Amino acid sequence: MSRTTLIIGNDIKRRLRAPMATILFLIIPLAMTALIGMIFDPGSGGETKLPAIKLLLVDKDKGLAAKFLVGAFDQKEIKDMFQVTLIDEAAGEKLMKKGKASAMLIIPENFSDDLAEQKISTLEVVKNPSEEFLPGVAEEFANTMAVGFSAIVQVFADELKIIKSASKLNLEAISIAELTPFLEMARIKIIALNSYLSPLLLQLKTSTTTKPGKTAKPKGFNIFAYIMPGMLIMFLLFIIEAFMRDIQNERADGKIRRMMFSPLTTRELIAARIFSGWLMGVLICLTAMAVGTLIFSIDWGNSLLVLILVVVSCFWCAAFFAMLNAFFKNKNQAGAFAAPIILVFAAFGGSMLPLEQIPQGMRWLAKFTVNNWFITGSQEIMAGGIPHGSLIVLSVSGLFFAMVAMIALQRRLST
Amino acid sequence: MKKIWHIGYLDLKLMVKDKAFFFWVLVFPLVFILIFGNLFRGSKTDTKASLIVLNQDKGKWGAYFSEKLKSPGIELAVTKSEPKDYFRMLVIPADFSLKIEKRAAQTLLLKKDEDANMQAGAVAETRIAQAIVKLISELIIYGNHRDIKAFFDSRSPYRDLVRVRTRLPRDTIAKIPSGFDHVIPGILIQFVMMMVLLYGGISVMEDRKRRVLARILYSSASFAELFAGKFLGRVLMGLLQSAILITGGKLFFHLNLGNIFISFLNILVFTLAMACLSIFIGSVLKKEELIVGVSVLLANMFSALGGCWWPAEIVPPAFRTLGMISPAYWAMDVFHKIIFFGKGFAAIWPNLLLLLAFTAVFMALALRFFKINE
Repeated sequence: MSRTTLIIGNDIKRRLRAPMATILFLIIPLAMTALIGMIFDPGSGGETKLPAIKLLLVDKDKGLAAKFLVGAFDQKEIKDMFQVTLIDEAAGEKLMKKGKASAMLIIPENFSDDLAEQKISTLEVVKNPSEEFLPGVAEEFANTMAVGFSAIVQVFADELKIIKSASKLNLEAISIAELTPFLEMARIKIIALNSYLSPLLLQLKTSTTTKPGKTAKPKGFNIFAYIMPGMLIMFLLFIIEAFMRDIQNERADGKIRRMMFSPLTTRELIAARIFSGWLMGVLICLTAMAVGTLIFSIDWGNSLLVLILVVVSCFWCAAFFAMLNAFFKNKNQAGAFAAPIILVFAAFGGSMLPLEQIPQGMRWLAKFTVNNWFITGSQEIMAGGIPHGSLIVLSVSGLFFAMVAMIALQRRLST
Repeated sequence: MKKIWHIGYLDLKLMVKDKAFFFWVLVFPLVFILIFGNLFRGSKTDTKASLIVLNQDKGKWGAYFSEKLKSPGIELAVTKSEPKDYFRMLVIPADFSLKIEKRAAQTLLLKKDEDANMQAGAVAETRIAQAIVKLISELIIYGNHRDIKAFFDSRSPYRDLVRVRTRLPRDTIAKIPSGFDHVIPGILIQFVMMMVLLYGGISVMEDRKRRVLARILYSSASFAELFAGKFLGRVLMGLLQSAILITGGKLFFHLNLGNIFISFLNILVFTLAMACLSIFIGSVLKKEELIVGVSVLLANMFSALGGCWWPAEIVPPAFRTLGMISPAYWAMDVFHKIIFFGKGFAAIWPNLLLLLAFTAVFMALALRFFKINE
């Protein structure tokens, strides 16, 4: 057995003897993936569902139009979207002040009469200031209702006037002959309405497009598969960094100096350190992926490509931290700088939030992080592609870092 | 008391001297604020629900319909040729007018880029639906017994008879909070947690390993003073972190924390709980890597469940209930009450009491496991 192999074997054994930290860093990405995935799980429909919007409804009109508006919330789709509570204004205002609902919709007094007379009427939406999205949805819904009501009121302007005046009259005082012209007018409109609404004259169909060079999100979207690569690479960086920091620890406690008394060369020692960090990373990454498959049913795609991507990424991590340790003076410096570097990588590389959510001015930074290449590479493999870009960038830059590490660490260890 | 102050102050000084101190307490949280603050403001180019209308229509109706799409909150651009890059594009086909005049049903296609802001997309889609309703209502009023070619000369234009006015609850706040007002309190709580647990936990473990704790006890300081000093040190760490972030938030992002006294009280009580927890973690764990792992895990879990990362309103009810086990949830709730509803002490004292209960539990654990020697 060569000296290099002996060191690698020894390093791995040492880690396996005290595996708690490694296990913990393995649990963290799984736990984070589980938590985020369960919260934002889109379910079988494929689209993330918002919780039902708590809406307080105040009817100060009690007329026909208000009844229509209140009744609209009984439609199946709208019922699923809103959790409506009919309430009086004072009580509603109190609840809104406590932040107990997302929004309150107030139907004003004389709403029905104003509409019948073609007068402008204003619905009021009180928004919960502590919420960012749901009050906006309620406002948009109110806007759509307003457009719908405006349209109906204008279409049936004459008929509404009659209904309004009829409601004040004694039925015995109205003759059918008087109503006939209005009924005829309504009939013409209903015929017109039918020709425009059945089938609907204008319909809207939506389609999702993907920018050239980007892979489309596959159907049967698994949110855990979307989150886990980012989490995995972030904590893999922590694991490999801790492993590579042993170079500093062994320098500090004189172990390296003692090893140098043996026939071992610094080149062999550095190669062994990079290789053991690399190997450990690959083992942990593959274990985490296997657990991901078992718990979250993640289909990682072509196994060979996944293995190549993991091998290349872990090599990059080991080489990068070996290089950094060549420039750090001691273990305190390594400890102080390594974690911030990892977190910056995670923040800009897409581990903490999807790359498309990062402000556009900052997205170019992702190209300098292993996180971005690992995440996009994994997604490409899952989508059935081959991550050429990720593999080339990571292997070329990894080899460069390994070379720099070899040269600089030899100098550092010989001083 | 002087000894307690000395021990606590020394811990704080050591933390400030750390090479990565300014990264952890200032640079990294600011990066977080920038990313997440902008995230909730949406993309700069997509905030007003940008919509490109590709009008291929050969008649008048396409342009007329495009006019109907104009509304506040939507950034409309009408073009004749397909642009290379867009967030969403509505295609009006070449035979649009022809079909309208024949009163034949047709479908408009809305193409959405998969990376576009979903919220802005929903707004654009709603506005298109509203424009369709407006156009159809005009056609119905015009009636299908008249010559459609004469529509533009004798139409009755759609009027917004029902309007919508929005406001915030009375006697709360006057201005709608910015994205940063939503984000900074969460990041503040997360980083106080992370900093106190990491630095506090590791320094307790290292002081024990290097026998610094034992040496302090050789002086005239008692065990109680040593413990209180360590506790004070961690509280000071949290307060320093908060002070830096609040100052940064005020300077760079015009942060509004509502009643500053109650905000401070909230941070103080929350920091007390985290200080005790950090001593407990540093006492039971013997390796730096383990303390880092446990602290990162706890800080992230508490932050996620407590509503520091995303608005609590979008979280399923079961997880919102589960979030109550996180001290961060109660601290965030205080921030919500004072920042967004302008509440006073009467509304937040139950939260402070709960945070003190967390402190009591963590303090009991810390006292039980705090060790002078390995």
